[in-house]
Amino acid sequence: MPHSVSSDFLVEIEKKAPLVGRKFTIGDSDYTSYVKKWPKIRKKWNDIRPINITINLSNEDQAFDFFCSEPYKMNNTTKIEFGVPWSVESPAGTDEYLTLHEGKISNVMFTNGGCKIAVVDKIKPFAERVLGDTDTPLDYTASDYYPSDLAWYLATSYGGLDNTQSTANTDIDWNDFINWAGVFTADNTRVNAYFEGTRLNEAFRKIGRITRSSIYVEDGKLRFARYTETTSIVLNLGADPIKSVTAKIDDKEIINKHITFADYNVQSDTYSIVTNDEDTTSVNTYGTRELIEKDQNVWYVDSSSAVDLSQRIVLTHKEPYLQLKVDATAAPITRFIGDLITFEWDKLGITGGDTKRLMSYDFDLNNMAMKIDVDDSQIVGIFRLDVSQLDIDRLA
Amino acid sequence: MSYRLYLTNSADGVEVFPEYNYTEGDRKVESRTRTSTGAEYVYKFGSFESWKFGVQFVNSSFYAIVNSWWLSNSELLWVKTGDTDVSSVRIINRKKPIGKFIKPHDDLYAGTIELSTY
Repeated sequence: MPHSVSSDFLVEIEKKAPLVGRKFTIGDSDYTSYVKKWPKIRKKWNDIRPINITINLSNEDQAFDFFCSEPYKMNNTTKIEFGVPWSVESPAGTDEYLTLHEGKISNVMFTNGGCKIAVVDKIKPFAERVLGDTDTPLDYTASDYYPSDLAWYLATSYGGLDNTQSTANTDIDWNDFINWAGVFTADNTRVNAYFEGTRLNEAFRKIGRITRSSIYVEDGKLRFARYTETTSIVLNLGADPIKSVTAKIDDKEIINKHITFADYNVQSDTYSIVTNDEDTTSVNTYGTRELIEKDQNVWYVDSSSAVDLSQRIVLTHKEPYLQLKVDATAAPITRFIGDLITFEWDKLGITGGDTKRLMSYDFDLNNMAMKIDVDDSQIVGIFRLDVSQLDIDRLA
Repeated sequence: MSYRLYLTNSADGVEVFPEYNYTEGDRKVESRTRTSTGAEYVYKFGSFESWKFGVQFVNSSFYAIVNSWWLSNSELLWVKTGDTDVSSVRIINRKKPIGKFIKPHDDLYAGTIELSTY
């Protein structure tokens, strides 16, 4: 799902000389004019850890000295935004900005007449909070849980995120969460969990891994997604915004046999269920490439849930796939991790018909350049609207 | 042609007669990228104005005032005489702007002033 912006915004940001603005705010105060160097913002589909970003600011007029006497102001919500300042247009419109990074200030350093402020995003507690210990483990084995319910309990009860179960939730994107949870309720996918000193972000990494889900922070909210669903929302970049493309096809990405150990018994340290899936064509072509999922913190409780993981991994990894690193302008910034993108790159024969999924990005706000990683690793049954088949006369 | 340079919080100021080496050096804050197809993308975030010019035969009062403003990074206003377009500026010289005698005088000075909006 792309950022929620107007169609005018989307058109503007893809122009060759767009009207653009950057903003740095602490609480309700705008400190944009103090920024000497804007940071790089990095996001990755499966890397659930707090992101710490440092901003270099001028402090010649001692604008930031208030932190010395009022250090509690480090707790103000701090944002880095990028967008279109429609208010400078005539007639003036309402500014539209995307929140690229939002969090609390983790440290302030004054040096050489300047000030460096580090802002860590709202999942900072995820790297600090430890779940259970050997004396009092955190035990989720009494019932069978949907993975989404487990994630919700951990994020809200232990991560301190807002537990409002509606779109009013300030920390978790409710629509994303409901869609993600719907996958597990539809398939009746159930897990148990048991933690004896696991960090919260590691627990989330494990939930993400066994469900093949993306868990990340975007637009100031924790988001969840599983990507094999079809979608017709595709950003067509064309050729102009592309600076260069690096391609890689790596044999080591092949997985044609996957084994999932499930129904773990904490007391006996044994798994009573072992499922697997195998693609014989791929095995015959490349030899056996096996991956084993065996975890003592989060595990599936039944064979149907376990085999679903194996099937999903074999389906998307039985053949090597093209991994692309694309250097581009800021044009893709309106898209979230997981969104679909097409672009053209003649040298590799990549045309606008080759849909790729955005798996990570690195946005250099200083130089207005984006490096994006796109690939086919999580694309199944992409829906493509063939415009040539439409009856244009009837639509007119 | 004369200009007036004065403090933002008072009418105190000096009248400035720039030499013919007067230059305007306005700049844009932007990022330009040429992509592989030859297309050029430009992201402009802002701009600022700057001026650089010599002054000659200024007296000790001018010398003291301008050098004092330079030393204290004073916020000033810069306007062409008779014009209404006033710019908020600071003196941005790396070194003391006015500090050279003009031969044979020992009470008249020359120098170079660099101004930039803030």
